[in-house]
Amino acid sequence: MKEKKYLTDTTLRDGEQSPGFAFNIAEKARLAQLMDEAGIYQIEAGVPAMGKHEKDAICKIVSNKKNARISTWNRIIKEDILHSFDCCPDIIHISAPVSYVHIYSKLKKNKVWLQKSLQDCVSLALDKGYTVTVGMEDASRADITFIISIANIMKDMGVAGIRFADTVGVLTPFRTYQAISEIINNTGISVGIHAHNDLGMAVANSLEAAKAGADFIDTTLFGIGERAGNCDLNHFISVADKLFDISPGYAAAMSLKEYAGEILFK
Amino acid sequence: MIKITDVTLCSLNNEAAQNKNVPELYGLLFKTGINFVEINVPVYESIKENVDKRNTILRVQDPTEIKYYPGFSRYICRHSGFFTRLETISEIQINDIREIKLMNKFNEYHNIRIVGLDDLLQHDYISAFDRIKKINSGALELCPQNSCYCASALAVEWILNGGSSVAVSFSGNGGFAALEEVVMALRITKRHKPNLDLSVFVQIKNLFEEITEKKILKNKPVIGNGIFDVESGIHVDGIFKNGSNYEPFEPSVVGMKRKIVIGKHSGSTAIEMKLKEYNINFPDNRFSELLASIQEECIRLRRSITDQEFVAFAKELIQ
Repeated sequence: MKEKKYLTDTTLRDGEQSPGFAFNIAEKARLAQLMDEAGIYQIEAGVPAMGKHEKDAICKIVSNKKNARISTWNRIIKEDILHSFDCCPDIIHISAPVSYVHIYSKLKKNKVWLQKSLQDCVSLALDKGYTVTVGMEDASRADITFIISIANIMKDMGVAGIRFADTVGVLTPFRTYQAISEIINNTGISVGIHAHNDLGMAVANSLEAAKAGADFIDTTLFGIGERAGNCDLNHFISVADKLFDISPGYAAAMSLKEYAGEILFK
Repeated sequence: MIKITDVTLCSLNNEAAQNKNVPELYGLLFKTGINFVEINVPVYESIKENVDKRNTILRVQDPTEIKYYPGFSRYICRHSGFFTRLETISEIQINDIREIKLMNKFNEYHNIRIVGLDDLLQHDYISAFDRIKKINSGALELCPQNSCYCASALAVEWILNGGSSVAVSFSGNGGFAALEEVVMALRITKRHKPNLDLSVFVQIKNLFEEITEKKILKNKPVIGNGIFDVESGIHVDGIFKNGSNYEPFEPSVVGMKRKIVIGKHSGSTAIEMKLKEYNINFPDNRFSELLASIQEECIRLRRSITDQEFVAFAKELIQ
């Protein structure tokens, strides 16, 4: 029996961040509906902190959804979480930069600050009864022991899972396998993979992550996303379908691509 | 020592192979840090004066042709059962992992290129690499094919796991691992930097597009025109502080420039930078109004806006 894996599609968040895309509410809602019908497990619908338009779009997606779980993307800022509450998603995803370059050079903070801010935001969402997942941003350039330490704290707090983000797309398959295995072996927490395609390895790295035990795989339609994009949903399905029990299947994914393409590239 | 062979010129169709720009492309490929360029006989006949035989591999239909084209560093020939000389690479097609055992038939060959193995990443590819090396201890070159979208990853993993030679093509033309992805990945993961300056990729891309009449996608890894375009507020802010926050390598390494694009996801840092770039003195107290208006306009247009549109937009709001 094939092992079950779950797709988190981030076309409506990371995909739309790619310059050139700007969906209106109806388009976001339609794309989410198509993904839901195709059998995508989780739809990352957007970033509520962006403002009213984005929140209206996410609210519509939440009210229309049938089977998919709808998640929102948040920084480790309490106001972001409060914006997410307004959208009533199924999952609140909080992204925490974990590499030293991001903590010290981007945020200009330190590890203690990061840990405390993350815990505060996670508590805020958990106390409100939400399912919370935590993104380890720039994890591929981070100290693995720091990731494990944060993951263990998150698990103890009741976080449903973490997402290992190869934010700048520098992973190779073997390194991906090693990192995901090490996190799972040392924490037991559910892990997802968020790959970028900067070296043309997003599909390969996502596949290796799944082989190493990652339960959740982030994809986008047509592989759109920052810079060289993310893991292409259809490409991933075409290679992972043989190994894993995964939805959508190949035919449904092709059909989704066809209908979504009419919206993305009209 | 890592050896990379570029097979781009053998992956061109007949018309493209006769293009007047092929000699220039041939010369530029060496500047990417690769070791050999592979050409076939028709290409050789048309660019003869430009060919440096010392680092060029000639593809022949069968080994008997070799005597007509002396002096090349090496020759390659699809395996046909003929005896091949030491300097001739026997190319064998191993379609998938199940066919690795077929390699036993080629025990006596000392110079082999394996083409195919598209599906290796769906399996335990490291054990498969070991099996391949155990079956044949001679010079092995891997030329993975891309029907499973993992060819570049396989070529890099082959090298990282002790293999020494790979064959690739520019932009993965012909369904192979992409030259630029493999070169960049080895540079990042193995510090393999035979050539510090990879800005030649821009010239190669332009020539390749002209020769093949194929447009490289704007998000093609390493060479796409749009890979250093950045719009989202978080990313612009991060890159403004330090490019390495959100870029795997400096744009200048591959001859490109970063471009801030104004769109639905832009934040205040990007807007401030654009206003400054175009010397627009915009009142601080109307800043959020500008940001909200831009977001609305981009949603209406269903796209990012151009710099000219941004300037017109900002100036109109001031008036």
